[in-house]
Amino acid sequence: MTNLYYVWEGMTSPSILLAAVAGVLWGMCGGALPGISTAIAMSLVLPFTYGMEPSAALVLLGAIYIGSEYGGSIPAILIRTPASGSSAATVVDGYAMQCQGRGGEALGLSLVGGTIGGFVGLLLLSVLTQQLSKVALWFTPPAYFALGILGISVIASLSEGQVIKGLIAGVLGLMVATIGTDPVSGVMRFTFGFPELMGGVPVIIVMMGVFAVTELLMQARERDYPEDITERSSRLKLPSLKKLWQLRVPQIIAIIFGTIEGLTPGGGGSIAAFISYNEAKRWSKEPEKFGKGSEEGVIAPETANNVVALTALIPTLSFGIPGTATAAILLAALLIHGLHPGPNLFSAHPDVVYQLFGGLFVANLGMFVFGLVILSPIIWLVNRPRAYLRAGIFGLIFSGIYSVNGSEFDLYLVLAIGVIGYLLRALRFPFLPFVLAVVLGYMIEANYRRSLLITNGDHMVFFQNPISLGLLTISAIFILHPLYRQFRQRRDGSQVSRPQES
Amino acid sequence: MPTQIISGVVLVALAGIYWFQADVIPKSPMSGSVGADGLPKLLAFALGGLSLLLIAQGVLSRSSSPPADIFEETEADRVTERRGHLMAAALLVVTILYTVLLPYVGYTVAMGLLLITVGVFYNRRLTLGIGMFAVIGAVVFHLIFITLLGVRMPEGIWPDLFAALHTSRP
Repeated sequence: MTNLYYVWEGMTSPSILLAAVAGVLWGMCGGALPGISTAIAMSLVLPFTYGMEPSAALVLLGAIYIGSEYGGSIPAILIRTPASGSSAATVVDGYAMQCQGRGGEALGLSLVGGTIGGFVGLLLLSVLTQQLSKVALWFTPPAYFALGILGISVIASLSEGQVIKGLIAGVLGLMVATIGTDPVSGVMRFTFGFPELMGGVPVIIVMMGVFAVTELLMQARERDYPEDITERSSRLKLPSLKKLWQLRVPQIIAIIFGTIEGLTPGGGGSIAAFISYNEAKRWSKEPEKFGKGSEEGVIAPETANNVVALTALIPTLSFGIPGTATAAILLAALLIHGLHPGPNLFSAHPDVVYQLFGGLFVANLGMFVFGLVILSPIIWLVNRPRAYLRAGIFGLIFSGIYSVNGSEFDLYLVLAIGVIGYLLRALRFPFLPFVLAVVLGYMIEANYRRSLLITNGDHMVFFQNPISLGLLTISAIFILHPLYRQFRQRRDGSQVSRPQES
Repeated sequence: MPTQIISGVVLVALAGIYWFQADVIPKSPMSGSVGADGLPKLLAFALGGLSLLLIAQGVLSRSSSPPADIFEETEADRVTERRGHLMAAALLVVTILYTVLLPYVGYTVAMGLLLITVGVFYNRRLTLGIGMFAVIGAVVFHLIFITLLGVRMPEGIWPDLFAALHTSRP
């Protein structure tokens, strides 16, 4: 009962309310600006939290996190520029909808999906934190390796009809991921004398290069610029309750994978978004619409992102395991205010923890309200003449990329990745496997080698660890199922054609 | 030769180069049983194998589809494709020029130049609207990234130039 009172206090205290509202608004703006990652948006306000009450400080940072996760989907849908890895999966169908003049509808789906995901994630965070937190400790290097393989098994589905090209794109992505310092020995690989490559190719540069720069180069090929069909759709369109009910399966899938991903430190939202997208397609009654503007293809990754944003706080609060840069900033804020994460946090400082939950509830609500207010003007802005829009996107890409490391080298790098993306698209290679492989490459290699270091090179470790075995089995099913379906379709097709021939 | 076969041959060459680059990665006693070159070599092998499959697929599809009348259409498509690639290359040159000029002319001026050049590139002509857009856009980018977010963007030669002018004044 006392805990409920703290939650109520978190929802009504003026300082926490202000922190929630300001945080979510700043997070949405920061998340929508490519290059200004969630971590940067949070770290910029971290100095201001010193003088704040612990609850308000944590709510401010948590609200930025929530807002930023959603904000990344806005440029992903409208201008094919994912501001973070977790919004990369949204680009595929979100931008396709935008091209069909349904950008307002896609943003509405993303807003509602994100809000639902946020509330479900918050519910899990507040009710199950102490129980679910144990899951974080089950994940050892073999399990992380298997999780990466599970993520990469999505390639099979993302390359339907052109599996060889998809696998090649995936291998090329893994090659890009090997650039930089070796995760185990610290040896330099493929840096060609450039010290800027020692840390590897940042994922954000790959995202911006493959999606945004490539798209702008592809658009440069157009001889004429027809009247923009998106002129007809300049308003945000929220999905009806009936529509949301029809889209319940992808949302349930997203909640499941978002929760699993959030509980595993270091996973990030990208894997959850991609797996949710893939599974939504697999379970969809209309899988052929994916990649061509499917509503399920937008709501699944967007719901997953926001579930991860909240459930990722579970291992941070329970064990103080900062799996991501974002979680590390939250952890820093906890420590600044003399709060030590762990199971004792709930008994020693229940006021702070439950006020945080209350504040995050307000932040999630605020995200929905701000979305309603700001999205229509943003859609209007994006529907300005294409020459202005494209020039503005270039400005945004270069400014955002330079902001990451303050390095001109990164600008050349994003252009080089853009050229790779251009070649992939021009030669009709699927580019999503490339992106996914870059995102997961480091995680897979680092944990594969760590596992083998522990066992002196014995590969059986991946089959002895129950989580690893389970995830690898699911990966095998993910890869084999589409192949079996393809085989069955061919067999059925040949059986149908035989009587006609006779 | 169809694009698929050419792509396959280029990728096989890339796999070879990548293998040799992986082979010169320094050995470390801390690398463990797999080594820093383990995954790269595996990837080179995988890329080589998949590229050969791609070539085989290209050869098989070529031998099973000999429609002569399609060739003319393909040739026309190729001309359009070539022109498209040239346009994309031209845009790429514009963006490289921006990156080269950035440290000399500074962020705000370079941004204005980028906006006007890319705007003209897509619009095919210079208009007053694009000029105004470039000026206002450069100021807005300056306000967001330098003033609001505090990002240290290149200032270019201007501070030194103004300092030199200031000191040379009698």
